[in-house]
Parts: sequence; structure tokens; C-alpha cells
Amino acid sequence: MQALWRNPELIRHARADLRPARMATAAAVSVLLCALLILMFYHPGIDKTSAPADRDLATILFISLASLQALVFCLWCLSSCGQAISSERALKTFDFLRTTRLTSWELLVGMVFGAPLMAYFTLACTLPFTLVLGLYAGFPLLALAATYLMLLLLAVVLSLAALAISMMTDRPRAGELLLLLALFGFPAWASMIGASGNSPFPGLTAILVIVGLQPLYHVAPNPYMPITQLTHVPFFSFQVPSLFVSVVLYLSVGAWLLLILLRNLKKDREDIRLLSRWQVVGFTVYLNLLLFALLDLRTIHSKSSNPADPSASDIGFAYLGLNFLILYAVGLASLTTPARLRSGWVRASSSAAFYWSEDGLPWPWMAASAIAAFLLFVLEALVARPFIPFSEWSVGGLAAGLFVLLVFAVRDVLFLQWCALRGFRSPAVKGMLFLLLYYITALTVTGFCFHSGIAWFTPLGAFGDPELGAPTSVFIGVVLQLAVSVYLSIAIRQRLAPSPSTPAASNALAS
Amino acid sequence: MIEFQALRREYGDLVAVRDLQVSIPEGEVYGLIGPNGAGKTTIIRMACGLLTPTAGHITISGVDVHQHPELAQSHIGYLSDFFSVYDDLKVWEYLDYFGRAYKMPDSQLRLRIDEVIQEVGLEVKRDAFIRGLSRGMKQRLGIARAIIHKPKVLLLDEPASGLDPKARADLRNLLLALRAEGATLLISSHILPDLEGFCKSIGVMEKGVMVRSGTVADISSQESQHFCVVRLSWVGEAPVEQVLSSIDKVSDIAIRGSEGLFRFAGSDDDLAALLHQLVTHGVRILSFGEVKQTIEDLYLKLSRNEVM
Repeated sequence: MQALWRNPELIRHARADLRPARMATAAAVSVLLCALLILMFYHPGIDKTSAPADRDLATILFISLASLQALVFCLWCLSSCGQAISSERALKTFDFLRTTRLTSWELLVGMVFGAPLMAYFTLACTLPFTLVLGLYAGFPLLALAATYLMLLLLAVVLSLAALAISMMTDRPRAGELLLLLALFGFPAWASMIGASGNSPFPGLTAILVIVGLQPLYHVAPNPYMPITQLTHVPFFSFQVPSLFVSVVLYLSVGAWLLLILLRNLKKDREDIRLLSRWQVVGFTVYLNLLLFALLDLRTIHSKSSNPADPSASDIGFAYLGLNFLILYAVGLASLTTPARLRSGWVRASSSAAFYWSEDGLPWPWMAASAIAAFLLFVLEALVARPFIPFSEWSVGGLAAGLFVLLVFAVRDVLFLQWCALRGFRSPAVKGMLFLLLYYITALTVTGFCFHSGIAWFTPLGAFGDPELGAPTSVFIGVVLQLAVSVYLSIAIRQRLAPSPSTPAASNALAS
Repeated sequence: MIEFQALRREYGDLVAVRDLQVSIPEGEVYGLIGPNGAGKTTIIRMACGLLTPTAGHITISGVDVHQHPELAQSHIGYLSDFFSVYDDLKVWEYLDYFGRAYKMPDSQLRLRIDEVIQEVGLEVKRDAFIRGLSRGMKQRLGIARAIIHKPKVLLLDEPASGLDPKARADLRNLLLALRAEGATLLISSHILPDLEGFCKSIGVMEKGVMVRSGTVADISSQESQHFCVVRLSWVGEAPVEQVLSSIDKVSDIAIRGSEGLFRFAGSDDDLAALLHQLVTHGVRILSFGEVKQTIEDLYLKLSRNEVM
């Protein structure tokens, strides 16, 4: 493995971006901006009697400048890495990189640190200002160091995410938009869930690094902002600093992104498969484990206590909902291109190996993911016995619910696979639109005139609500969907069967 | 040197390359010819390790491209048709980057950069920014990039596309020099005069199928067994068309003034007998000979006769 400073990709970016004239301009602009910001507060014309004390002023300035720094730095990294691969593809230079001896790891490191090199340089130019201001404001050096280390970690994770999107899309602008939404939307949503009064997942607030950094600055929690009080959150039922959970979250998400990129970076876009089948199952386990790690078991009470508090069955339904989404994601990630499906079929159609091969149908892996998720849930329920009796989890009901969800998810994914084999353009998108139309129609029709049909045609019956479906209706629904799945499997097999005339014709021509 | 074994690539229902079986020996210059969409680019991209075959194998210098891509790629130099270069780099920086990417030792790299720059005739532009180069110069820089690591195999996909006649001639000279150095070249093109007198072997692709593959001489003689085209000229008035029409091995006669062309399906002895017959009928022959077939003629013959 090459040292970072000898990485060819990094050297290329350094040569292209850090030309003396560009560096001088960037340094001058960033220093000027910082100086102007400081002068705005320290201007001699400001009325000294109404102005805050010097230390308070330094605190305000430090917070303003550091926030601005973090925002610009993260967005810059996001933008640069979000275009790193797609723009090279558009220029047809990426193929040349792929034919060199650079490994995926070397290429990845070079791009993650090389593409936003000017952002790192600008950060370095403005860092002295914030450090001096922070120290003058009386903040410990450790807090400042931790802040910038976390900023670097966040930037690297964002860069990896942006690079992954850039690898998968031809339109970097769409990718950036998606990432921006994720960047601002998801942490806000997750931290809102985490910080809400009776939330069983207070650890979700650790997505916002700032919550964890707060105690290092010796800032008292704000009584009107619950989120500021979550400086320690439960992690596998141990109270740990929120910063620790932030680091674990970012490192683990970063590791998955790294795996995705290392597997696919040097592949053609058509050959990209984010994770292998076993890795997909591993990802299901990771998400379920993360959910359990962040779950505060002390907040969960039996149904007889305060109804506002979440009960074990509420958590069970949340678990079902999450796993339905995961199963869908697993199915979508395991959709196989028609060519690979055909070659897998030719190699192993007669044996069970076809079902477990990388080029097989998605459903065995969805089933494996569901089983793994369920076994993990049982294990977690056993571990949580000191807090909640095992019987309160209603494991049998959850198993039945998960099975129902699996049946519906398999049906939908088989339909999408069939769409792909039919040769539709953007089969996943078109198939999803068909499914959306189907669900809207099913819900509308059953809502108006055939109420028990909800459980026949939608997976809502899995959630154990008698209003959404009696057990008989749920059973009928499962049988119906299994029949549809079998029909779709037969249709897929028929499309995979090779036409007998093709090889003979080609051999005749080649001879 | 380059082996394609039962190579196949599908895009959905479309079979872009169908069961290709070709072996290109070391030092050979192999022209892959065919119309757009025949599968030439797909073959070259699979040979570079850029595309994964649906079935089959490719070995380059004995290394399986898809099992050991990085090792195989150390033997490969690749150039595509339309490509960009990093405009914000200087010429030497661009080559330095790729030299490093091919893991060349620092001690050799500087010398090699100067050597390659000289080889492609860009000495005066060594320290210039790439953005200031002409299209032809960029193409030469692309070739320099492809050969910076002294690959044994060069895979060139339509290398002359979009070049003006001067740049095309320069490129041709450069490739001739590489051929002289013993490199194995696989060149795809649909502009057939580009390959004339340059390729030792050709493969004709049509709709993903390799219609014919072999040395130009072999294919040409095989085709000549079926028929050849003869050009003749004479002086004075003579019943040339009458004589030719009376011979059943002659077809497609085209006479214009005192010159003519016809197709002849017979042996060399038959052709000598025909010449004798013309002379005995009083035709004063000025020139008589078989029209040498160009790669373009061969391609047209093969594609017209064998591919529907």
C-alpha cells in the first residue's frame, strides 16, 4: 500500500488544484473573510458599553466562524466528491484510470482526499483564526482538537457517500441533491425522534456531533432544548458519552460505504452491485443490531403502565416496519441484470446452487435476511430479560408478522425482477411505479367497499391490528401472494430458457 | 499473446459479442473491422478489463484479465476513440501521473517520460498545459499515455476517429513505429483505409459475430479462390466485350473506352488462357492484371456474402 503523499491520484489533484496562483487566491480570500468577520465585531466605532465582554465576543465569533467553516467544508467535500467519478465518466477519462494498476483502495483514497483538496487547504488557512479565538474564549484545547477531528471524520464519511453516489449516477447534480437532502433531513429527523420526550431511541441524537461535543466545552444544557441534555446516551444499555456513539455511527456507516466503494469502484457501471449477497445479509444484521444498541430498554414498559410510554409490542412493530423496509432494500439491491441472471441460469439452473449464487434470484437472500433479523431479535429479547420479561415481546406474533411482510416483499421484488427481464427501460423505477399504483388502488378499493381485503392485498395485516385484518384475512392474503410469487417465478424461468436456434446459427456464421 | 476463448457479452436481450474465439500471436497487428454496433468496442473494453464478459475468458500474456485484472493491465495500453485529458495538468505531469498509476519506479519514470514525449513528437509542449494542445496533439498524448509503461499489448479503439488527415498520418507513423518495436496491437476501426498496409491480420465483425478472422493474405487468397477482379487496357478497336462474354468464368464486365474490369472465377491457368484468347482475337493488350484487394474490398465482400 502506498503512503498517502505518494498516491498518484492525490498528487494529480495537488498538481491541478494547488498551483501557486490558486493557492494564493484561496488563502487571501479566506483570510480576508475571517478578518472582515472579526472586524465587524471589534470595530472601534462599536459602542463599548453595550458590546459584550471580550471573552463573550470571542465565544460568539468562534461559534460563528467554526460553524461557517464546518458548513462550507462539508458542502465543498460533498460537491467535489459528488462529481469526482461521474464527471470523469462524462469526460471518458475514468476508463483510463480503471485500466491502470491503481487498486480500488488507492483510487478511493486519492479521490476522497484529492477531489476536495482545495477545501482542506481553505480549512487550513482559516484554522488559526478559530483556534486563537477558541483559546481566547477559554475553551480547552482538547475540545477544539476533538471538534476538528470530528469535522474531519464527518467530512470523510460525507465524501465517501458522495463518491458512492457519483459512482452510481451519471447526473452528479441529482446525486448531490439527494445527498443534501440526506445531510440535512435525516439527522434532523433522527435527532427529533431521539430527543422527543419518551423516545426509546435517545442514542439517535448522536447523529448530530454537536450534542456530543457540548460537554467538552463545559456548556450547560439548555432546559428548553431537550436535545442538549442528551450528553450521555444508552448504547447496549450502558450510558456512554454521546460523542462515543457519534464516532461509532460514523465509523460503522463509513465502513459500509468503504466496502461498497472498494467492491465497485473499478467496475463498469452496469456491473456494479453494491454488496454481495452475504454482505447484504450482514447489512441487515448491522441495522438490526444498531437499532438494538440505540434502544433504551429502561424506557420500555409493559402495557399496564403509562400508556404514553412505548411498550415492548410498540418496539416490536417498529422493528417489523424497519425490517419491511430493509427487506425491500435487500430485494432491490439483489435484483440481478438479465444477462447475469441468464448466465447464472445456464451454469446452474438444474441445481439448488442457482438460488444461492450471486447471479440468482433475490428471494432466497431476502428470506435469509428475514431469518437473520428474526434470530437477532430473539437473541436481543433474551439479553434484555433483566429489563423486560421475554414473554412481553410476543415473539411468535412478530415471527408471523415478519413472515407476512417477507411474502409481500418477495412478491414485489419478483415482479421487479420480471420487469427487468422484460427489457423495460429503468425497470426498477417503472416497476416501483406499477407497484405504487397497485397499492393505491388496493387501498382505495378496500377502503371503500371491501375492508377485509386490506390484509388480502397489502402487508398491513402483518402489524397485528384487528381493524387492518383478521387472522383469516391475513392467511388468505399470504396464500394469494404466494400464488402470485409462484406464477412470477414460472414466468421468470420461461424468459430465462435459452432459444435453441441461437448458438447453432452463430457457430455456422463463425465457421 | 491475446486469447479470446468463447467470449460472450450480452446487454439485456442483445448479444453484443457472440462466442468469440480468436488468438492473436505476439508482435501481430490485428485489425478488428466492422460497422458501428458490430461489437468491436465491447471486445476491446472486455480485453482491457473494463467490462465483464457474460461468459468466456480473455488472457493477455498468459494472464486472465478478469481473474487478475491489475496484473493483466500492467501488460496493456489502452486508447479509446473520443476521450478527454486532464486539461489542468501539464504534458509531463499527465504522463507522470499515469506512470505512477502503473507503478513505475521513480528512477525510470523521468527518463521514460522524456523518451515517450520525444517518441510522440511533443518535445516543445513538454511543459505546456494540456488545455493548449490541438486535437491531434491530444491524441498523440493519449498514445504516449498508453505506452508510458511499455505495455506488450496495445488496444486501440478507433484511434483515428475525429482526426484531420495530417494528424491521421502522424498517428499512422507512430503506430508503425510501435509495430516495428514489436508491440502487439489490436486496433478496431470502421475507417478501413486507416488499416491498409498496416495490419497483418484482420477480423471482420458483424452484429457481434466474427465472420472471418486470419491474416490479410490468407483471407485474400481464400476469397480469390472464389473469384478475382481483373483490370485490362488495350489500344485500338477490339472486340474485347465479345470475347469476354463468350467465357463462362467471366462476369460483371465493365468496359469504358479502352479500359475494362471483370470478375473472373477460375484458376491462374484459366486466366492465362483467357489472355491468350484475347491476343489471338487481335486485342493489343497494354496492361492486364488482377486488382489487388484492399482490406475494404475484403470487408465488403465478406459482409455482402456472408452476413445478412
